Amino acid sequence: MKNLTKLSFIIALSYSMLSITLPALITPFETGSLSVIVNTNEAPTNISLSNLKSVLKGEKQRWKDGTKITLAFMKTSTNIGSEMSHRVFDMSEKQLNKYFLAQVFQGKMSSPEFFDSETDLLNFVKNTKGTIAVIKAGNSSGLKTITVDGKTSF
Amino acid sequence: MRLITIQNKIIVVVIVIVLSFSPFLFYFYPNQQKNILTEGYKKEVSNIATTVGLGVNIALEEQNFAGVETAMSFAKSDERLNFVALIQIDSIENKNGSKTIEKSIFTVFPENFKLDIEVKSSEKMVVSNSPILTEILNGEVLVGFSTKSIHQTINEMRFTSIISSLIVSLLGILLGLWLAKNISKPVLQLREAAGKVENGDLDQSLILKSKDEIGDLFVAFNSMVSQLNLTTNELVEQKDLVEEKNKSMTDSISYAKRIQEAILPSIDTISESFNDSFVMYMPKDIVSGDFYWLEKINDVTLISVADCTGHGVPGAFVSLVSSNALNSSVKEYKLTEPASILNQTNSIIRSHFEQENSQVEVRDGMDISLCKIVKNDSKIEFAGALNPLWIISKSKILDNGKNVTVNLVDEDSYFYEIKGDKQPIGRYIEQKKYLNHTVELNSGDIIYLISDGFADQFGGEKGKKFKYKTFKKLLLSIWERPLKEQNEILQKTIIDWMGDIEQLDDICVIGIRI
Repeated sequence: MKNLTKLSFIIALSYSMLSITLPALITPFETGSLSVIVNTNEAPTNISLSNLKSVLKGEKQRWKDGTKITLAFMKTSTNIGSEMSHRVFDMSEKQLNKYFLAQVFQGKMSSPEFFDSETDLLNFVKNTKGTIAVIKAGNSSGLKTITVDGKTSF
Repeated sequence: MRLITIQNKIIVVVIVIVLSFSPFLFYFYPNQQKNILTEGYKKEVSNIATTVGLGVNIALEEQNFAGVETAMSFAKSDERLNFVALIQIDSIENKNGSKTIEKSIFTVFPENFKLDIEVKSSEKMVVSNSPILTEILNGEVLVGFSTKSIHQTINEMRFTSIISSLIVSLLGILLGLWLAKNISKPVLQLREAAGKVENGDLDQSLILKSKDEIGDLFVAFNSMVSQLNLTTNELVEQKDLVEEKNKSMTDSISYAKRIQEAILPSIDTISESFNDSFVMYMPKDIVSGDFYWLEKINDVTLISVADCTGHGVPGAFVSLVSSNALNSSVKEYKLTEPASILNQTNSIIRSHFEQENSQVEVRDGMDISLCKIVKNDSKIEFAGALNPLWIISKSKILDNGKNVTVNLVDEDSYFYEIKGDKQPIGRYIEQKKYLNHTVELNSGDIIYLISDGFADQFGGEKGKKFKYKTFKKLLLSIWERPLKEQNEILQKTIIDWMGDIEQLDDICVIGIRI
C-alpha cells in the first residue's frame, strides 16, 4: 500500500512536470560550450576529462571528505543534455540513459538528477552539497567551476 | 435378517441423495471456485504489470531512474512475486536491410532468477506484461507471480468444502436414520401387533400421538381390533351355543343309533343262518337309511338289504318304519313269499305315510332286495323293489324256469343279475304287485344283496362314480375267495376309492354262499 502511494505520487508528479515543461530549443553547440560546476570545496579545481567521465559515470561516488557525489544534468532531450551525452560520455542520449538505468538497477550508483531548465539545475546544485553538474558554459551563476584539462569550458 | 425394510429403504434413499451431491461438493464446486480465483488472480497480476509498466514509462520519460526502480519496487514488495523484469526489445537492421526483433533482459529481480524470456503462464505461475514505449527504452515490464498462494487457498477451500460436505452428509444420514426410525418404528409396532392379532391376541391397542397418516393407521387398527374382538366374542358365544346344541343332537342321534342297531340282526344270527356269509355295513352318518333285515322261521330264512329314502336321521326314521313293516308282514300276516312280503310291506308303509288327516305329503319309502332261502333247498326266492339280486355261479341259472341272461363272464364264472321291479316301496304313481322270482342255484354259488351306496360313491383320480359295472367286475374277480376276505377287499376298495372325498350315501352289501 505504501509503495502504491509512493508510485502514485511519482506518476502524478511526473505528469505535472511533463505538462508544464516546454520543449527546449535545440541549437548546435560548439567545443567549449560546456562547463562543470560543483557545490563542494573538496572537488579539485582542475580535472582531466577522463577523470571527469569517471566521476560523472558514477564510478567515483564520494568526495575526499566522504560527501556523497550527487550528479545533476540537463535532460538528454535538451541541447545541453544532448551535447553532454556526446561530448562527455561519448554516447548517444539513448545509450546514456540506458547506461544510467542499468547502473541504478545494478545498485552501482544513485540515479542522477535530470532537469528541464538550467535555473532548476542551478538551484538544485546550490542547495545540494556535493553536487556536480554539467552546464552551459558561462552560466555558473556564482557556483564553483572546475576546469577540465585546464579549461573552464570544453 | 430381513434386508428389505422401510428403514433400510429410507437410509438407502438418503445415502443415494447425499452421494449424488458429493461430486458437486467435492469436485464441481471447488473447481468452479478455483477457476474464479485463477481468473481473478490473473487480472490482479495483469493490473500489477500495467501499474508497474505505467510507472516505468513515466519515470523513463522523465529520466527518473530512481522512479523506475520505485515503480518496479511496487511489484517487488509482493510476497507472491516470482520475478519482475524489464525487457528490452530492439529492432536490429540486418545487412540485407531486413529487421530482426531482439529481446533481451535489461534487468530482473531477483537478480539470481533464471528467466526464460519467452516465459508463459503455467500451473505454478501467472505471467503478465505491460509495454514500455519511451525514447530511452522500448520493451516491456514482465511480471511473474506464484500461484502457490492461490493453490493454497484452493486447497483450503477444498478442505473446507470436504469438511462441510462430510458434516452435511453426516447430518443428512443422521436425519435419514432419524426419519427411518420414526417411520419404521411405528410400522414395526403395527406389524408386531398385527402378528399378535393373527395369533388370536385381540387385546392389542396401539398408542401413537402422531397426527399424520401413521397416526390415522393406528387409530384404524385399534378400531379394527376392537371390532374384531366384539365379533370374535359373538362368534365364540355362537360357537359354544352351536357346540352345545350339536352335542345334544349328537347324544340324541347316538342314542338313536342304539335303537337302530337293536332292529338290525346280529352277526351271530346271520352266521347261524348262513355259515359262509358277510355283511358290509357302512352308514354315512351315525344312524343310517340303509338297513339289513333277517327273519328266520324254522328252515326258512328271509334276508334283505333295504335302502330307505335319504340318510342320517330321516333315513333312520324311515328304516324303523320299514323294518317294522317287514316284521309285521311276516309275523302278523304270516307271509314268507318275498313278493307277498313286499306287497304287504308296501301297503303298510303307504298307510303309515298317507294318513287321511295329515296335511303333509310324505314321499318317503325304500328300495329293497328280499330273498327267501330254505335250508337244504337249492331254490331261493327273490323279490326286489328297484334293487337287484346278484348271483355268481359256474353254471346256468334258471329264474322261474327260464334261463337267466349272463351279465358278465370271467373265464368259467358267470355273473347274473335279477333286477327288482321298477317300483319302490312307498308312494308311487302306478302301483303294481311285486314279482316273485324262484331261482335254482348250485352249491358254491354266491348271492349278493346290495344298496346303491357302493356303486354311486364318487372318488378315484377323476372324482367319478365307482359305477355298477366296476362293482360287478370286482365281485366277479373275488367271488371265489372266502366271504370274510371279500368283505375286507370291498371295504378297502371303497375307502381307497373315496380318498379325501366324503362318503355320499350309506353302503350295505351282503354276500351269502349257497
